[in-house]
Amino acid sequence: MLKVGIIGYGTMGRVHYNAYMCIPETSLTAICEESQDISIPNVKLYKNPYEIIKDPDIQLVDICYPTPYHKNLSISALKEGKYVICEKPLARTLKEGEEIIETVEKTKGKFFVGHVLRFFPQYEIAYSMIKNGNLGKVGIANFRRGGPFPLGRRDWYANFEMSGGVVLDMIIHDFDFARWAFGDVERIYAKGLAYRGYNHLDYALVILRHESGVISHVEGSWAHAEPFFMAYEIAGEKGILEFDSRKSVPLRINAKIMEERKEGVAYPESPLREDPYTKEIKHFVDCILNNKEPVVSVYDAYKALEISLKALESIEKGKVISLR
Amino acid sequence: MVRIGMASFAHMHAFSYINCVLQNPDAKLVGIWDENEERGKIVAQNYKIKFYPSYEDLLKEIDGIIICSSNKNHMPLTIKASEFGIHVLCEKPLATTIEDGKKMLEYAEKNKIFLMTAFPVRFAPPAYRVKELLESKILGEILAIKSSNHGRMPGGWFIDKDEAGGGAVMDHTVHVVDLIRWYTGKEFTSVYAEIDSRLHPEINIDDCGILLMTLEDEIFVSLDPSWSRPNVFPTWGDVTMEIIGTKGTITLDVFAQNIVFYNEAGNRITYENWGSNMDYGLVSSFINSIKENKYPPVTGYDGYKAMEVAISAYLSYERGEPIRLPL
Repeated sequence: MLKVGIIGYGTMGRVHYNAYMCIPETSLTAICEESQDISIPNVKLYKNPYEIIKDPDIQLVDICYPTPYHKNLSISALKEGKYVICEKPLARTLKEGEEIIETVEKTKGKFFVGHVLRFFPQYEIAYSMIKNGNLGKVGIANFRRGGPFPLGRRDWYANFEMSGGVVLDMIIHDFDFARWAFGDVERIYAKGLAYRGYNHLDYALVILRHESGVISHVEGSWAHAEPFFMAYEIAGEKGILEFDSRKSVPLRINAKIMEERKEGVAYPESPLREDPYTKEIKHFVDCILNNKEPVVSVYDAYKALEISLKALESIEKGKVISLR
Repeated sequence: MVRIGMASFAHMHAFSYINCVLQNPDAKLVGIWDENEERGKIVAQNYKIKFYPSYEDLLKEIDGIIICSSNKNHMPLTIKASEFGIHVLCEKPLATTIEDGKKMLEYAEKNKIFLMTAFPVRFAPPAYRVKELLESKILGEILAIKSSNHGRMPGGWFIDKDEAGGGAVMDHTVHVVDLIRWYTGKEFTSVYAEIDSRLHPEINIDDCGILLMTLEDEIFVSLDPSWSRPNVFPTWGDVTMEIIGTKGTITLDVFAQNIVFYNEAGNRITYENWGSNMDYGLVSSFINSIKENKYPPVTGYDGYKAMEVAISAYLSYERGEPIRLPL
């Protein structure tokens, strides 16, 4: 039985909490939640994240804190000999990412980053079809991800120094997927609203040219009044794959009593037998218990971070950024 | 009655425009000329109109000419028409080079003719509605636009660099660029592009790409002009836009007014469009301009500025950096 402590009980913390409830090999032992009073039977509640890291009972630390805390929390937990699951992005800067990797290598720890898109069936299937050659040579891939501006704890998404905006926090999902499917990125050109000082508004358009020649175009929006959506269109010699969460809708609720969520980050809801977040954490737990390599490594997470940060650099400087 | 002639049926849009002329109560279709005499004669026979073996002879008997030749021939045909004082509706893109485009504008001005570029999407009611909405400032200030003009690989002279001036980027950049200039009233200031030929191994011209551009006031715009629609796709392609403003967004999908036809006999699924015929609006606008002696709402300069963006995209890809506009 793997004993788990979750650091942070915001939107993602709750999603991970629900996932552990579905995984019999784990036992949720502690939650760190500094700003609200919660009470869950048989779960220790801490106010300070380091209490979880130091708790000798806990084997797996799950970090759902804002991005700038990822590095220190991850490194401390690894040094305490814990297994670590950290939400994406890996870190706020490349240097922080490198420090995490160094610690992972030095401690030989097990470290996983929540690039959950790889566990969404509509993305997994696209990946397999691309790899199986169903599309022939891929030419151009369009990815879209957007919705309203997320309202996190203490409004931390609005603090660019913390969140890195839509480019670092959200479309890093698509960057990771594009790199997974089409290989490493050779150069990046991007435009966006980061650095322009808009309040609760961010939007970016990014071009990735992969070393394989594939052109990826990624749109990220925290400017839409409509609920969260994601979409892709991947065109190859032998056909097109198209997915749009706004069109693949098996169920609509039109109840008048539904209130808008006052707080929380919009995340996709997929009514599946097993939701992608649970599948992701189950996979990480399987990797821990059975000593397997994860589908997404810390190096993959670092490369995705690099794409996001270089896209931001392109936005800031107005230049093409080479990753070679 | 406004006397109209048609020059060349190399571009398939000519077949739609000819019907629009025939339907217009203010116009008389005098005849057609085609550099491909065989094709021209067949069309003339089908429509029971006169075929002119000489372009000049046709020009002598009309007020306006609709040019649907290959892109490269837009320039000589327009200049000849201008020398006869005949107004021109020219298929897009205006020309294949900056020099040709400038020459066309120059001759049109010198000979005092109307030069209109065929940007029919301006006359599609959903696109026009967006213009109205933006003018009402419903979005506040426009910050960014993501757009597409996808299509099928057209083949023929469209994939001949000399005749067409370029592939997908030349073919499918100008419509959306024109819409955006019209919507915003601003000019493009920089163009970056990734361009390639990856989707159709049998051709030697660009068939996919992404343009990432800026307008005045740092509005940024991306455009996918790829010939990425396979033959089994339910329709020819699309014109779409996601417009991001300080107060909201607009999603435009110009050709979304479709019935889905699950066609057992044809073994495929197709869209049957029930939207208003935008070509009729375009051709009527040209005829009306001649009738009322008013400059058309879409000009040769509009065509030139849109073409300039497409040409800049190729330049950008060659140089690996964003290109400053105007060229």
